[in-house]
Amino acid sequence: MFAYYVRIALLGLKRQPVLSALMVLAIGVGVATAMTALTVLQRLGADPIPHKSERLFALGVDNWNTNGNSWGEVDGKAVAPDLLTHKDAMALLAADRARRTVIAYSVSVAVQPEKEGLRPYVAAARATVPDFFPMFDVPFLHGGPWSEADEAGRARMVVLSKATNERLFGGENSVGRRIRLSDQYYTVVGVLDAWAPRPKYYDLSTGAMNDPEPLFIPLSLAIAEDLAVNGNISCWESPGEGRASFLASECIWLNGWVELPDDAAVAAFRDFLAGYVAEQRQAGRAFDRAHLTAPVPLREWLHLRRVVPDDMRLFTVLGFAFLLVCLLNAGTLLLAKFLRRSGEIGLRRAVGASKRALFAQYLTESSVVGFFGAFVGLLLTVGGLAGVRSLSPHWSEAASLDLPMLATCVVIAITTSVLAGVYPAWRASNVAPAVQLKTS
Amino acid sequence: MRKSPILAALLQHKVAAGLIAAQIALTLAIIANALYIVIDRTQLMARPSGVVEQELFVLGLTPEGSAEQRRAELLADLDAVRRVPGVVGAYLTNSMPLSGGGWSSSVVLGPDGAGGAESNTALYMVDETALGTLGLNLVAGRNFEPGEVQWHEAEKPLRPDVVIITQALAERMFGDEPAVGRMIGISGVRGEVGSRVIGVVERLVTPWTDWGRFGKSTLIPVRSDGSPRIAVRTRPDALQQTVKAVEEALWARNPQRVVDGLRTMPEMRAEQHRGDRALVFIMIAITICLLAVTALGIVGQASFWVTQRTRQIGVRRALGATRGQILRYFQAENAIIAGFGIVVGVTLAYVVNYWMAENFGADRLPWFYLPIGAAIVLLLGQVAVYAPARRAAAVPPAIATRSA
Repeated sequence: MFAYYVRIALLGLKRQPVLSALMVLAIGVGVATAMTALTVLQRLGADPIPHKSERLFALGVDNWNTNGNSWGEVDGKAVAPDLLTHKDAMALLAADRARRTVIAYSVSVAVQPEKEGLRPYVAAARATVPDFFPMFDVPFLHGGPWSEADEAGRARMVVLSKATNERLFGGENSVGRRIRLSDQYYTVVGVLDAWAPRPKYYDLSTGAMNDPEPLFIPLSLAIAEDLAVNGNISCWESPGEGRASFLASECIWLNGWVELPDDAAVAAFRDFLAGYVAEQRQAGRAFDRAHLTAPVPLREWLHLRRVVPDDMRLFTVLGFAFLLVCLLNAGTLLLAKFLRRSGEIGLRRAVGASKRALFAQYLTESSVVGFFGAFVGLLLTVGGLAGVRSLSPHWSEAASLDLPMLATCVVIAITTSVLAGVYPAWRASNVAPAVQLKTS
Repeated sequence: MRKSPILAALLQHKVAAGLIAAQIALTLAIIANALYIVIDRTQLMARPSGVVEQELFVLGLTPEGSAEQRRAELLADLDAVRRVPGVVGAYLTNSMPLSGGGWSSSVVLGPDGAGGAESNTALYMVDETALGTLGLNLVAGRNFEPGEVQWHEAEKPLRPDVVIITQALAERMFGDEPAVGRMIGISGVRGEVGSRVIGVVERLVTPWTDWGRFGKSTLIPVRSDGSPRIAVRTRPDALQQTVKAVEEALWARNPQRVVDGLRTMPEMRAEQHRGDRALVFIMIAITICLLAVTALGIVGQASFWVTQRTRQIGVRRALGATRGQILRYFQAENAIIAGFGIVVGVTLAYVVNYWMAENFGADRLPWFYLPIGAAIVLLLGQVAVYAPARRAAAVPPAIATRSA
């Protein structure tokens, strides 16, 4: 019976090819707009490290005090600064109260290749502690991080990204080789495999959609050498003169994370931070909003830092409103289309077709429209995503379709047109046989 | 034109008319908001920077060695750049407008600053040639003199003796009073006021387009040897060739050096506004598709009604109705549906905008976008219904006498 309905539906569509094509196209465009927006939104808002995000916490330390004001507000509530002062970062690193504590910042260095024909270039290097790699599950191709002893000893060691290793060493295992960075020689201890989390959650302050730094060097070394900071330094009071007073100042420029395995560890760490805040207040520092000095869960951190741009949310809302218009549109056209056949329906009713049978038949016809609409919508979504990619390279990773989204797309398209078809099909099945036979 | 029979007919088709009205309402709500975003962002992108963008580029240098060596190196580099054919002017700086990266500082008033206000400003390190190189328009006071340009000692706060500020900053700080000759304090602790305003330029925007103080910039006669940049102005229409020539000239002096972050002003402007442009494009695409889809719905529905009412139209024609009256009947019918749609749509547009403003920090929709949106959907309806209405008007009166 279903196959028969589908055949009738296809015949029905063929009878008015232009109208049918336009209906399919309208559903397709609506589905594509909503799906394009939803795909990008969902990718941007995705959990960058799902198996571990529960255990990762950003370090919020609220040392801020611009005329008594907080660093900033999100959703009307005060939030801690996104970065740490040197003294807080070092104190929390030394206290070592979490399974892992990672402090990091980005510096710029001149990479001076020894290979013929390669121009020197400036690159960002992440200055961090060796725990950075296991904490964020960074995959190694060769070698591994530098040791804790190397970290403490300010060793000139470097971990290269896969791309940098290809550029400088043609992709060979370069562990043990040397590279020159800003006129100093560094020994390569590790080479990473491809790694580009989106968003770049471990440091949103240097561009959430940027690639990770291509080089990684010891934190202690970068601070001791006073390498140029490649990121933000914000101060609410003058740091004073000289390097020592800068390091002791209230200026924030370091990024901090802790890994806490369970709720008990989180509670213990909260207590530890509360004690730390009390100590700092006694020492005369501001710390006015004590509750803001806390471990912030990764997912919450991403929300607070507005990783999903408001523009993108706006696009999604309008995309779905557009889909709604397309749904109303399909409903209007199907109603007109079905009722145009009132005479035929009346005849069928008169010769014994039940209301149910007619309802099923017309609903099948609208579903067939939906099926074609879904197909067109899919093609247009692929096109729409390509459009988004070309408009903004930052979204290129986000603007790609995967299987679950593909399935969602088909489901939304068919649901849309079935919904749009329910009322018209009901109206069609309610055509009174006698009246129609009389007038036609 | 009597309205009552039209209304009576519409009431016979409540759902069909309601579906069309709902489409029109949603369309109005969406396009009013989309249109506002398009116009708002377009204005944002069109804000002038105050400099001769088509002739400017910037590059970064990383001099090595002691402070003396680095400074000598930088001055030699600057000299080499200035001598490249096609270069009109060049100076050492820390940042460029629209570049996305730079220095900002608070500015405080001197003791004579009663009634004025504090502010924040972008700081541009320049020398006496910068005004000409950037193409700035000095509206009051004087330019820097060569003797006033000094090297910035690393790790010391910036305390220039003299500064030039933009008109926007001058107005913010001093209101209508003349700014030239006044004392202000930059990058310091409150109360440390040591910089005299010697000039005011008409316009120079900050490196950040999304900053609240977009027009408030300060020029300081300072050179820095820590991550310095060279800003270069070329002859008109010679930007691209000159970029290459300057790069070659710098490498000719030292092939091992890093020439970093070379960007032209048009590139920087495009990059700063990439998100805005993407959004404008998307909104225009949505608006066009939406209008097309809604028009399609109206055409489809009206065509159906015309077919359904062919006999009645024939009867009216036979009873003396003119073609014009039939045409206007369908036009009026559409206008009434659109009218309902507009009433609902205006409310909806306002609610949607209110919700977006609350949740996404969108701006409040200025009221005049609603009548504009209403006019657009009304016109759209009339255009869409015209072809079916023409077909209705063409129904011959004789049809009334035939059996269907």
